[in-house]
Amino acid sequence: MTQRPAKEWVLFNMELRHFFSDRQNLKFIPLVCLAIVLAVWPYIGSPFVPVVLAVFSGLESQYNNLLFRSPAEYETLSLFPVSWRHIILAKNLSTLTITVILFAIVSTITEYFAPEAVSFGDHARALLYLSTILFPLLSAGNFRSVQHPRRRTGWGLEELSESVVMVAIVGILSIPYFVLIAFPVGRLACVAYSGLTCLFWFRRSIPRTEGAILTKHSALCLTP
Amino acid sequence: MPHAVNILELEGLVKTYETGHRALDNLTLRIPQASIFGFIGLNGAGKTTTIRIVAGLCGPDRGTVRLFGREMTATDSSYKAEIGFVLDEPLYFDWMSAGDYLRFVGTMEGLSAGESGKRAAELLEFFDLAPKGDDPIGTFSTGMKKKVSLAAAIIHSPRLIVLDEPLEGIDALAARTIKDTLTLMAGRGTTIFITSHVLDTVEKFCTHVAIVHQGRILLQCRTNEIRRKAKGQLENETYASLEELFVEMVSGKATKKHLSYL
Repeated sequence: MTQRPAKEWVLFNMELRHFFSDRQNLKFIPLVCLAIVLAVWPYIGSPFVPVVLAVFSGLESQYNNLLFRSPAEYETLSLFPVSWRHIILAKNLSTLTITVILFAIVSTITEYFAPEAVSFGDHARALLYLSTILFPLLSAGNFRSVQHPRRRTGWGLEELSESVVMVAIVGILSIPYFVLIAFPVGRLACVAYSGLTCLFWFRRSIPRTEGAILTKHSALCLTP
Repeated sequence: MPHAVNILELEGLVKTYETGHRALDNLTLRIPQASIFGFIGLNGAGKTTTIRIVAGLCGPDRGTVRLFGREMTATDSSYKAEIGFVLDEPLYFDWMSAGDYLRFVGTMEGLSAGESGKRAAELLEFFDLAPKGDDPIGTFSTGMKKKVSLAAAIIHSPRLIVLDEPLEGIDALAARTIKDTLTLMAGRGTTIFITSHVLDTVEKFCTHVAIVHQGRILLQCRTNEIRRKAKGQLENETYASLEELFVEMVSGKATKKHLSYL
C-alpha cells in the first residue's frame, strides 16, 4: 500500500532541511560567540538573555521573510496545488521547531561558559517566557513577511538593521510575560496567555496572512 | 457542451501593468484537448503574460480563464495538480539538488514518496541529469535548469503542460528528446501549450497555432489549416512557411527599422 505524505509535512521537512543546509546560517557562529561573551559578563538579568538575543536576531528572516527564503521561492510555491494557509502553517511550525532546537543548543553552550550554575527554576522560567513570545512573534512575522517582503536575504546592512528591529520586537512582546509573572498566579497566567496567543496565531494570523497574500499576489510575483 | 473539447479557454483577457503597458488587449484563446498548441508572437506581444495568468502568477484586469471546464479562481489551487509548468524563468529551489527537488515536486503534486522517488530517478536518467543529480540546481547551466524544470513539470503526468520557451538554451539533442517526449504525451491525451520563437519548430511540431500581437490574437487555427485561414487576411496569400506568414501578418503592424550605415 502506497502512502501519500501530507503536503504540510513535506513542506515542514523541506523548510528544516533548507535551514540546516543554508550557509547563510553560519552567522550563528559569531552570534553564539557574542552570547558567550554576554553570558560571562557580570551583569544583572536572566542567564537566558544572551540566548534570546542570539537566537532571535539570527532567526530574523525565518520569522519576518517567510515567503522569500530563496529568491524564486514564492513563485515556485505558487505553482503547487496547496493553499497558502497550509504553506504558512508548515513554515511557521518549522520556524517554531528551529527556534526550540537553537534555543536548546545555544543555551547549553552559554551555560557551559557561564560563571554560575543555572538552576532548574531558571530553565522553567525560560521555557515559560519562550512560550509567551513564540506565537506573537510568528503572528508579527507573518504580517511583516507580506507587508515588507525581501526577495533576497543575506549578510547585508538591511539584514543587520532588520535584526535590530527584531530584537526590539522581541523586547516589546516580552512585556506581557514580565507583567503577568509579577502576579501571585503569574505562571498560570503566562500559560493561559500562551494558549490565547497560540489560538490567535492559528485562528487569526494564518487566515489573515493567506488573505493578504492573495490580495498582493500579483505584486509579490516577479513581473516579466 | 461548449467547454468539453477545450481544456483551456481564455476569454477577453485584459492586462495592463503599473507602467501603463497593456500586455493583453481582449485576448481570447481556446486550446483543444490533446493538442500541441503553439503560441507565437514578437517579444512583448503578450505570450509570457498569458502564461503567467494561466499559472496563477498574476491575475487579469478583465476576462476569464476556464481550465478543464471550470473557471479559475485565486483561492482554488487544486487545478494545479493537473498542470505542469515550465516558465520563461525556470522556477525551482536553487539550494536543492535536482533529485531532491523532483522528489519534492512529486510528493507536492500528490504522488506517494515511493512513486516520486522512482519517477525522479527515471527522469534524471532520461534528461541526462543523473551524474549531477546530487548537485544544487543553483550550480547548473541554463539548459540543465530548463531540463530540471521540464522534468518537474511532467513528473506527475499532468493533463496540461504549459511551456514558455522550453527549447531556449537547450542543445539540439536535448531539444529533440523534449519534443519527442511531448509528442508522445500529446498522443496519450496530454495537452501541450507552448510558446516559442523558433517558428520552424512550431510549424513542424505543433498541431495548432495562434499568433499574438500587441496583446491580441491575429490568427488561431490548426497548423495544417494556416494556408486556408490566411486567405482573406493577407494581401499576399502565397507563402512558403509559417515564418513568412508570421512576418507578413506582424510586419504590417510593426514599424520597419533600418540602420543608416547599412
